[in-house]
Amino acid sequence: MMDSDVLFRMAVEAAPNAMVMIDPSGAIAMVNAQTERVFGYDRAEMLGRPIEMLLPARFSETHPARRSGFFADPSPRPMGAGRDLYARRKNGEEFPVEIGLNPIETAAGVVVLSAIVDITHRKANEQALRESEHQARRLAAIVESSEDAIIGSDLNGVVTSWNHSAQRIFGYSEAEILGHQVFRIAPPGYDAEMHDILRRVTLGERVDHYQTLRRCADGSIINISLSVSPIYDISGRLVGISKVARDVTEATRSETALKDSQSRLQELQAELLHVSRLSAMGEMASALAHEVNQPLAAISNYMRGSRRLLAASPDPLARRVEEALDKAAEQAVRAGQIIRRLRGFVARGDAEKRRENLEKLAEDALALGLIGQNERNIAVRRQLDGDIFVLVDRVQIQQVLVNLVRNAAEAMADCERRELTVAARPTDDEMIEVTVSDTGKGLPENVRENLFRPFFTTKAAGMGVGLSISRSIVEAHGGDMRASASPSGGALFTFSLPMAPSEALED
Amino acid sequence: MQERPRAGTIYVVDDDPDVLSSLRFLFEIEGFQVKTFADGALLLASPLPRPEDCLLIDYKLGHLDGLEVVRRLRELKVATPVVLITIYEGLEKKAAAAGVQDVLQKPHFEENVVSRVEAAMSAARRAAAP
Repeated sequence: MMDSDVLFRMAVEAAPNAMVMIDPSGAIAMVNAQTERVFGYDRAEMLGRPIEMLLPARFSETHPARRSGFFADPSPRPMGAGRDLYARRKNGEEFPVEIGLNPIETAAGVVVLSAIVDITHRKANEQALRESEHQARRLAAIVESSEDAIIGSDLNGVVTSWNHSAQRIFGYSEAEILGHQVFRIAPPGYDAEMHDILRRVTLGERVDHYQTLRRCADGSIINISLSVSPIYDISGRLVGISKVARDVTEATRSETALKDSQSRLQELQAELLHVSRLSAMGEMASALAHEVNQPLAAISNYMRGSRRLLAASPDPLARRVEEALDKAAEQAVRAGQIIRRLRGFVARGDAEKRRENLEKLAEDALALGLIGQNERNIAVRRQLDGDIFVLVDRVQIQQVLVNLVRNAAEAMADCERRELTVAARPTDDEMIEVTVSDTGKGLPENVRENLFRPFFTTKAAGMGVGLSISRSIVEAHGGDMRASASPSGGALFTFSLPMAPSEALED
Repeated sequence: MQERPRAGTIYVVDDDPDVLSSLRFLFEIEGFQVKTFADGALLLASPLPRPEDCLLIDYKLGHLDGLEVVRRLRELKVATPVVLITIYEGLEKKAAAAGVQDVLQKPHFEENVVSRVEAAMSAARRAAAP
């Protein structure tokens, strides 16, 4: 049997923690091997020395009093009671510790055996844990507050997380969808696509900004931009899939609308260019016909008169002059026919009169006429009734309106007040009166008189056919066109168009 | 050589002086009195035509067009028959609404202007007869 003292010393020596025994004077009476390793002192350097040598210097003044207090009322307990305790190695390094105090009665009096545990690693782990919890909370907050839907699923497509925006965009609450298949938000026919995305991501691929469609809880279909990436655990094992979905329905819609309106505008411009070329030709043919028809009419009158004069003459020569006059008349008829054919050639085919909504015509004309005029900041007033229908060739009347709108915009270029008004109202004789007025400088009397004459212009670069063509077009529709002063002192153009019979009557 | 003077004066309004004088020539040969005007305002400022006369008027006439002149004459209770001469097509309905009896297309080779005017005048006489 071994001496109990020897047994005790062996047990202390084998303990996994540093064990230090002090006597009532605070001197170190015994240390174990672990103490040597933890503190860096040899046993001989410690024995007999005050315990304070193992403490940071800042505790050396207060510690002896605490130590005496313990000796006065010794009981086994952890030291420090809620305070962070620190010890000091030989090299001066401080480290966090936990200390258990055990008073032992001996023949020589009470001694205290302390078990000292270096908790540096534990403290570091705790700190790391706190930091990672903080990080996780921060990430969760980011995910929750994201404008994008952020959805987590396992490898089988079962939803494991569903943020606030996912609820907002797709209309399912977290409770409704957690644990269910993510395929619930696939529109009919899109299951295969979702499977394919899942498969690609489980192979480690990423899917970035993929444009597709998804179905919401209320059945509506939305455009989304989807980014999908794999989720790995700490050991690098693929454990799930994260999807970030952005609702791009509105963006897609406005992009489409923009494209539509741009191509519509281009179409209108092309049509207008085509017709304005035809109209310029038509106007010239018309002006030519007018100019030539007048002398032809005079010729016709003179010949008829002359023929009548000769008929009464008994002179035999008169018969031959009559013959010659008849032949001259035939030639005049021929000239007239050439002119008529020319007019007919230009006029025919281009006038396709249909029932058109005047408001729509005016809107298109405003869009076209104000191209490039944005910087002029023109306020456009519309006094149009959506129910007004006219029987017109759409492109021709658009040309008239565009002409007037452009003229008005140009007339106001240097004015402070820039208001363009387009109005329409039915008149008593089943016509629609359309007015385009501006707040420009107006038309001087001498200009107004010549306004509709072909090749009359006040513009430096104008050809002077716009208004003349416009009037011709309006007249070819059975209407008329005139210019006057607007109440603001600007120009006011008025033209009339035939009202379209109501559709019910046409049937 | 007005062989047989006829009742009624032909009022002619046209802004083309050559057309105007050719019509004067034609109608004088037919024995009519002819009065010519370069625009509608001049006509309206002169003694107005009587029901037994005839007005031959161009459609396109400076700032007061032929139909407007006719409208004003009708407002003034002038019952004179009117023949509109024009190079434009499709004016018949508008012309009738303004109070025009006949529309003649320029340069009117195929049509006899004189007989159209005469027809309008005799129709007016018949209408005025008790």
